[in-house]
Amino acid sequence: MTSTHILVMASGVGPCPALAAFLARKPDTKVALITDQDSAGAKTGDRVTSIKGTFTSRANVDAAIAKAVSTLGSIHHVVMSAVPARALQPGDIASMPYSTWSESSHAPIKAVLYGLQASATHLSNGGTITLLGPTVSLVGAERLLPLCTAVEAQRSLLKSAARQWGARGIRLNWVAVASASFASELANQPLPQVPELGPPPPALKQNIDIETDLAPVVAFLGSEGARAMTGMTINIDGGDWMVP
Amino acid sequence: MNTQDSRQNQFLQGTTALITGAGSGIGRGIALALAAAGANVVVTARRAATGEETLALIKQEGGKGIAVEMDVTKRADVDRGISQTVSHFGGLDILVHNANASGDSALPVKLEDIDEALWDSQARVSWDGAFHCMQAAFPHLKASPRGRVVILGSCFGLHGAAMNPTYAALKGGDRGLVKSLAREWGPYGITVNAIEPASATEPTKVFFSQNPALEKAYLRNFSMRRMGDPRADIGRAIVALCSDEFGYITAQSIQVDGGLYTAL
Repeated sequence: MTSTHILVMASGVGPCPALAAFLARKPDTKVALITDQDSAGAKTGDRVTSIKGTFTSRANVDAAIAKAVSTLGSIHHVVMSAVPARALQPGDIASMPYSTWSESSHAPIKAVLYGLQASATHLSNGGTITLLGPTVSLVGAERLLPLCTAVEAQRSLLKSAARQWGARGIRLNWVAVASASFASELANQPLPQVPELGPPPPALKQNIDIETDLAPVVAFLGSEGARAMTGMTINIDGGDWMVP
Repeated sequence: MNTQDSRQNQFLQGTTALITGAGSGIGRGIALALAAAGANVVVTARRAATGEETLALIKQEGGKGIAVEMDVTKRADVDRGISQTVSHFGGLDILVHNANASGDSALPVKLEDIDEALWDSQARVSWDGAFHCMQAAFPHLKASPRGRVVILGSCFGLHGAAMNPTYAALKGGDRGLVKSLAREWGPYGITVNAIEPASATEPTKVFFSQNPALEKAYLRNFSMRRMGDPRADIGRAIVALCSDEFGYITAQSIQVDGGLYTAL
């Protein structure tokens, strides 16, 4: 059995560091994590190679991935999210400083752009890229406009990449994670709810466990079983938003 | 008034609408349609001459408006445009953000070739332009009894066009923007929607003139077998969306594309 090499890139907040640790528990799996968060690497355990990097330019991402490749040897599956903590701070768009808008909207889409570009150069024999974001972008939220703008842009960019790179054997899919499970900062915010009369009953459950609910799906997307899936959006939210 | 608008019955009489990128293409079509529906139209364009051309066409048909030279990437320009609007017409009811980086949306781009300069050149117009216009227009839209924001989106953002990832990403982002802004400004009675048109703009015409076989194949994808007219099809849809009849529709991205994108 050949081993699976997974590169996880975590820019800002999100479940990717913890996800890296759970993905690394699978037999014959090597995982490297590139993160711009000082504390993120400490959460992953000794089965994950943690690399400090930044996502502010293509050159920075190239340099960080080069370090990961020197450890992994090759890459089969790239997993990434890019949501800056600042984007989770609610603010009225009418009075928002331009710097907040820019850092919460332009920066995360550029991080994903650079991540995709740099990753693709290491997937010359094909491979899989899985991007993650919070479900809130699918429905929008007041006072979180830059976040929803950026994440929806990331999702559309992924679709374009899926169309352009499919012939090269590169598949890309989007995983929308229940917002509160994606980032705890979203748990206490008044996000939109499914339009039921009264509190919406959860179809399955509302708290998503990264190990048991998210990691297996991400691993599947990187497997041969998902070979015909690309450009997809998959909700991991326990049946909360059943988008059209 | 142009006969093609005769059925519209001056739905927007007494309102004031500002349209970005109204010096040509879809923006000009929207400006003409809104003026024909009775709105006072503020034609904004980065190049003053094109805005004046659109204004002249409006006035030829008996419409009312002013032209303002306005680069949406510059906050001072946008502030000045909104200020002139309010001083001339007494308020602002309708904001239509149509401006795009000229011509780039119809040019094929490899994702690998998108650099920061290319991204910024388009995002500053599409996203930052929206940001500046939203902030400058908000107090006036809030004061209006029928505030309306219309963003020109694209089904490229839905299906993730292979042709131009930058444009697809920006337009996908617009969907998140529209939903969020609608939720944020709904309590003030302001509706926020995106129109996702399929319209024969000049860049589209240039692209198809160089690729006639692609045009023939592309048109087969339209339920109506044709691309939309900027004024008659796209502009009039926006008139409807800005009318009282559509005052309870918000947070939507509406395909105005002759049945092109039908996956929703």
